[in-house]
Amino acid sequence: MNKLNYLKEIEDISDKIKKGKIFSSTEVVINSIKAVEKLLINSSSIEFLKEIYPIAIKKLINSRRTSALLLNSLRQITETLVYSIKEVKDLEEVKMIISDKVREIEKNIKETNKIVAHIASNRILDGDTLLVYSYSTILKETISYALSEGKNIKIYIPESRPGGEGIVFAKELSKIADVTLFVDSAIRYLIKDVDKVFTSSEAIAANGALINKVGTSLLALISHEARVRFFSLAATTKFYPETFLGELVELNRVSLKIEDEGRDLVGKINAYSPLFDVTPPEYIDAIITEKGLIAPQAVVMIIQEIYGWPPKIPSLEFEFKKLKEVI
Amino acid sequence: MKIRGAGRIARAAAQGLQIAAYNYRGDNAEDFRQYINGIAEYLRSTRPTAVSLPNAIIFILHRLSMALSDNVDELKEVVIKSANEFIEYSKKATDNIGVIGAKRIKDGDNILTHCNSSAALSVIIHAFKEGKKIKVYNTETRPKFQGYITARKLLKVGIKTTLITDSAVRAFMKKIDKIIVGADTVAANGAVVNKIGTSQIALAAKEANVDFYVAAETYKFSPATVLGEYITIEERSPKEVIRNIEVPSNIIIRNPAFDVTPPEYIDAIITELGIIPPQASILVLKEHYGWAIRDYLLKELSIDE
Repeated sequence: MNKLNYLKEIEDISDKIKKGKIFSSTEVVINSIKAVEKLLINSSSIEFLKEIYPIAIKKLINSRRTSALLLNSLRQITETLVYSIKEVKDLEEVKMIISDKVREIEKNIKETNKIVAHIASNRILDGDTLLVYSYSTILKETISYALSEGKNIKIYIPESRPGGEGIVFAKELSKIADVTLFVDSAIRYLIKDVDKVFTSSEAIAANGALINKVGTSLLALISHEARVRFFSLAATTKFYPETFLGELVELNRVSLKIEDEGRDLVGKINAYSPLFDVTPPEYIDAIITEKGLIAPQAVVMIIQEIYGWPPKIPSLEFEFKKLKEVI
Repeated sequence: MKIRGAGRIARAAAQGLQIAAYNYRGDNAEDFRQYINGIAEYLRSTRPTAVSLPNAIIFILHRLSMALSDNVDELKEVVIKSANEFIEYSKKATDNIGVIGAKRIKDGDNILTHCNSSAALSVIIHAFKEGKKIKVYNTETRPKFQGYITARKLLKVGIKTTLITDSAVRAFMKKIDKIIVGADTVAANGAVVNKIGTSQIALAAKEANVDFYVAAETYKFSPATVLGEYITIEERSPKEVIRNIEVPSNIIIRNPAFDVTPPEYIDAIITELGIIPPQASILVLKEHYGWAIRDYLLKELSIDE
């Protein structure tokens, strides 16, 4: 097999991520780390990894620059790879260590999400009408917990163009709860019926700004105007330490599909949408993490807790250099 | 919903009365008046939100009630002539709005518009024809994608346009210099009823300090609101929202067609008479519909008696 074939799967997944075809940010990460695991397992020699591994990792990261969880998870795998090659040298053993690491990351993500969902469900009161946005496994868990505690809740969901994640989420949630679906434009009209807004997160920047599915910032602004509480769920692995060093997060952009009634316009007009937008911290009432509920302005405290002060953030480039050295 | 746009709806209503008058067979003046009033009631009930429709009707009915003749042919003539008068006025009004509104547009402006409004397009196209290099961003306008109609009209005159999702308006706001939308109804306090999504665009504009203009002919101002009448927001078929997708029947689908933008988010309303702050809407109403407001009042009083 040549190098291109090895990268084929990574490329397929990167493409899907880039176009927003994988809805949940957790799923994006789990799919990515499994693809990396597969790449390693299929490798015939350690030498071979020297070139191809950094290419694969960079491809995945570039497919979604916004995902801090993706960056953090791939960094963990890379660190483990460098360490294991240095220590054991035997390819088969390295493969086993990496597989274990991938399992561990996956398990951690799921367990952490569970804690976040539990804490978030405490914020839900009996009789609440909740507006949730986009598609999120962690939000579904939160709602399930609240329902299992016997709380009577109603769910409002905007469709969330251009991806239509809200429609998919509405279908799933309709199996467990009362769901009302509407177009994104109707949020301000319907916000008066809503008690609380919950969103998931793609990433949280050092200043507490939330990066999430496009439309979130408009929703937050509307909630703020209507004095409806706005909560964002984010495990601390979604905190983006690089932004502390001033790095700007690059937002993916997708072209808009023009429906049949506008077929004549295809190719004649620009039609596009960012996949994400940025919600300023002042519109967020709280970020709900596995460590508890915090004000967005306190994100920097958690970054300090994890990465020290001033934060020491290991760069991937540095890890790649080390990788070349140990190989 | 085959006829879109408040102006076209109003003209269609005027035309409806015109045709009804033309087709009337009979020679009793009182019967003719009742017949026209009946048609008017029917036309009124077709679109509860658009005020242009009742305004077109009261424009004609008022002239009919002022005509003292007992001759059916003369009364028919009154209806046909005043309908023509309304249609001509309303067509000219949209063009005048373009001339006046274009003065607000600067060379190089990026303009955002929502849905498909003849009055808003009139402003944009006038500015473009004056040689101002402008770029337009327009929302796709779910659920019915009227943004496509707007894009098509702009394309026809050669204006560069970018279609964006309704959810992305805040994300795009930094690129935008001015926003121009149309109106279905302007209330007495200057609040504007327009296509669903307008009020959240206005909110995002306010936050970013981007000018927000409403282009509205005076026949979109609602005399009934002066007397405190509440504007009913139509909710339309769920099918518009979900289109070809199957969804479980227990999902409730809300589809409000319009929303209300409060006057404090509107920088100005561009009318065919000039540009006014939204709070001055009552001036337009008193000036143009003083008699209509009186009519409404009399009606209400007679009910009380």
